[in-house]
Amino acid sequence: MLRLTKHAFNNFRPLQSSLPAMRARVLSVTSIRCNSSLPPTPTDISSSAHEFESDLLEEVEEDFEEEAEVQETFRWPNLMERDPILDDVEITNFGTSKQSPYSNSVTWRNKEDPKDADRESNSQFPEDRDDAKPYLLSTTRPSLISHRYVLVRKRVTQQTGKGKMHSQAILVVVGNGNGLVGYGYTTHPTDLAYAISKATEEAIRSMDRVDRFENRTVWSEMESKFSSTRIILRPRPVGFGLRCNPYIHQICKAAGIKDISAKVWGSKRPTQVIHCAIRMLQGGNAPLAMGNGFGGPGKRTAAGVGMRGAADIERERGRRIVPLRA
Amino acid sequence: MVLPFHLCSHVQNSFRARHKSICVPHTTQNLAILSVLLRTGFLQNVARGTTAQASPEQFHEVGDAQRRIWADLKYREDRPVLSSMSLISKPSKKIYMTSKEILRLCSGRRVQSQKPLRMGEIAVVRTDSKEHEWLEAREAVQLGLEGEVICRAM
Repeated sequence: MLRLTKHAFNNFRPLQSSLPAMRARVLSVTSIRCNSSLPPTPTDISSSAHEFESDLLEEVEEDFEEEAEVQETFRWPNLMERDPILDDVEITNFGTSKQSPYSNSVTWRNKEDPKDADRESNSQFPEDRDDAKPYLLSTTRPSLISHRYVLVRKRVTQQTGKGKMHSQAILVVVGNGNGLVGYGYTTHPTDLAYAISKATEEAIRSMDRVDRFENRTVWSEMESKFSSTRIILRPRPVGFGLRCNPYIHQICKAAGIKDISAKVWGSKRPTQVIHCAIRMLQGGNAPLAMGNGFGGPGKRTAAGVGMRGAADIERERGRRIVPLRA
Repeated sequence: MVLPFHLCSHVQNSFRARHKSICVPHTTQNLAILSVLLRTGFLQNVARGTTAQASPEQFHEVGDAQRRIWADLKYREDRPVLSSMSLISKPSKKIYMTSKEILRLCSGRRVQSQKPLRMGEIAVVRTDSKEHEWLEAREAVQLGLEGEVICRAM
């Protein structure tokens, strides 16, 4: 709006105000002693009123001088000329086609917001460009979530004194296919779509890096147990593929693991399998105060050492790892 | 010869309990295995000492019964560097391997029903060589020596 007023201000002019009329107004206010209907003379006005009047007149003169400076640049618009911003019009013509024999045109007025004219079209930052999209849905930069799998959908029930309370439970695994994976689990009483979107958000928030050997497989055999589920993951050579439990298959696809051999023993409950597998793949570790009583015992789901790549092991031992594969 | 399983469990438990150092009896076997662990980066310091403290000077002043080996344990990034240490060759079943078999073990293939070494895992081998008696598995492969595979550490 500011730019519009500036544009208008620079090109248009108001009527000139008259100083004599303003002077007469000032004098009529200050001439309280004048009782007659005749216009006042300098002798009718008292000394104090005279001083007040002169101060006021000085202010008025200063204002008029400022206005005069402004008026020099201000002029009325010439409506016969086309204004580049206000008269800018975009016309789209839709001619006759196979679908319809009628032709139409659409006229856009004030389509471009004047403040957008300041935006740089060729900014080095994609966010500043005119065609900037929200981060997660951007097609110009690599997608953060190229894999999203709804792996568990079940109906869960809470039995209360007043009856059964049903909910939809959703588990979503999310990944970028190149070293990031996470999962989210939510429930909602009625709305399935809402539960899926909430679970997706949680999954994105829980994403963590997966350290991979040659960007395709795990570093070494890993065995882990969570609750009643025991999983072993084994590294395999190029082209082997994902020969594993279907839930682990989807997790590896989302994480960008291409060759793996895995076995699940004990319980094959989807939630447990997914939690155990992602816990093994992510490089996290349990919080420092886990289980020592300070701040309460640690959550069972927060435990787990996670994967350690060659770089981590080299760093902690101070020795190089030399592979001896034939 | 005292069996090394006591040392394996002592080292592993001390790491998990986050002890600063351990104190073990002074024997050639203990000294050798702890030296291999020091060479491969699991321990910070190995020193002779007494029952009271690690002190190479006082070691000479006390008798055999009071002599000990002290080893400082290593922790990095708030984690113990050694997470597990276990026997391979047991009294019930001794494991002797040739140089080729040790190579197989290091390359990720099973040998004599033994699981292969994982990434970052080491194995201690005892050979008949006078000069190189106690070696790490990969050192044994390099030198082409065979022997008893005592324990593994990760």
